Amino acid sequence: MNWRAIPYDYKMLKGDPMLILSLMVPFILWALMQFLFPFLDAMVLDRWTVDISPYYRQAGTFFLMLIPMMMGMVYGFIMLDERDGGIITAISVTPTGKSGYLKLRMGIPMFLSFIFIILYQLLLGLTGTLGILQVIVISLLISSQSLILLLVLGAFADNKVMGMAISKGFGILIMGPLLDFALPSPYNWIGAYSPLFWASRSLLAETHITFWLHASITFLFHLFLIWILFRKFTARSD
Amino acid sequence: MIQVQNLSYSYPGTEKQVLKNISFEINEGEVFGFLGPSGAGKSTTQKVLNGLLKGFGGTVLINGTDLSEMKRSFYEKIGVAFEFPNLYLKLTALENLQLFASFFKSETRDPEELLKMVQLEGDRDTRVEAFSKGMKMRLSFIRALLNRPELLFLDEPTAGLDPGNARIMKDIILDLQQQGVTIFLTTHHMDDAGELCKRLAFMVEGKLPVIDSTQDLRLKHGKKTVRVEYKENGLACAEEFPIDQLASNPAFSDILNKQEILTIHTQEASLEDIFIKVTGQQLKQ
Repeated sequence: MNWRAIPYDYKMLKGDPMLILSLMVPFILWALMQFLFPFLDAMVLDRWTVDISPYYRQAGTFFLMLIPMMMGMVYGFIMLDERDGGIITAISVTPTGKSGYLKLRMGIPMFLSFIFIILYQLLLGLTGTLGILQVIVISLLISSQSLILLLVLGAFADNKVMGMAISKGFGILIMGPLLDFALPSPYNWIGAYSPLFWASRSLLAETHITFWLHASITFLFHLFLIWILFRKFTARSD
Repeated sequence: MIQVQNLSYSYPGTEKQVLKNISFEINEGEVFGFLGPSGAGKSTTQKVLNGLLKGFGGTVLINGTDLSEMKRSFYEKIGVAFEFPNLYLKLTALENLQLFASFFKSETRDPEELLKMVQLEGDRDTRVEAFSKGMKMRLSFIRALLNRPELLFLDEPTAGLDPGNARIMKDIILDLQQQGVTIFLTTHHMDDAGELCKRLAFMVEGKLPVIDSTQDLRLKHGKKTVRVEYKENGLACAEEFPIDQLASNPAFSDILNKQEILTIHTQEASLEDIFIKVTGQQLKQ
């Protein structure tokens, strides 16, 4: 990791509206859960006598998944900006190379996602019965979701216009946990194609065994996707 | 320094060969140029040689090592300046150089000294987005010199520069050659090629029909005559004389002794003339 490059990264992104937006998303999601959910809960209970409070953790988990997705997308677009400007090509002919550049680009959204996810969970009390180690592990795993989105953009989009088209397909990932929550068993397994399905199951696990089982699947799933996408990205001629 | 044997290349997903079994050598410390029209394959050759394009056919040896087995440390001593300046627009000139210096493990040159070389020291703290194309070209050029490269790839180094700035760049290139840096440059400017390159290869449609020293090319294809322009009775006149036995040519001596000489030139062919003669194609496309 080229630590010397990080301050310049900050200088480049300073005042960037995309970055500001990305930093605000976790707070917006937290505010939705903190203020809107209790309001909706009270309203639904009053009007239809339906109690939605048991779904608090599920709703919180769903919003939580949006944090790494947003980080991955924002930094993916920054990367496409750099590709459009020929920067990636210029770095490719230095000892750091494309893989060194990519590690730097991957580090920041991963780090930011991790911090925001930890804070989000602690502030909203989503950790349930999970211990500190489990919270850290699942937060790291969910953070790595940002890398998948960033790498999909980097590996398949030639420019920002293509990136926009590809990012429309990201909704399919977030459908995974939604299908799990919404459909009765065994139809809820349809959502298993998405790594978010497994990550959300770990977070909502009732026992240690189910936590570690789902966390392991999430880890392997992410590792496989990141490995494939990393290779695809570095094999590109730019 | 560089040995290329039967190099061929097609861009992924296309059938068309951009490079068609070309072979050439670049000696250590020489400025070697590819001269040819746009789209001939000059930049593609450079991209293969600097490792940006993989999947080529043939053999490329750099300092005796096969390019396909080259490690990343290979880039510690390589400098590349691209045809189109690719810089961080939101960073200043100085920050661009400092950031790129961080990509090298080896000691790099003082960015301020480099900025001074291309007269950008007064713009060191200006964001590159406010730079003209010529300023970006100069910054991109000195960025390639950050790591004191032993091998330098320059793609159209004077493109888009005014004559004054082109002169500065050419002087730096000649100075680097004096210091023993091996330089591979591509250009479609015959004047640049003629002035900078010790040896030249003409590139047309992915082939190299001619590789020779610049001097020999001019001599081989030029007329071995001297053209004298002089004034006789107030009128401008011109005559050509064979170079052989020129000193004992009475007509030549007569003009030298009796007339007012305006100019005397040997009649080497221009590189453009030679290019058209040899390849049958125009250079400026």
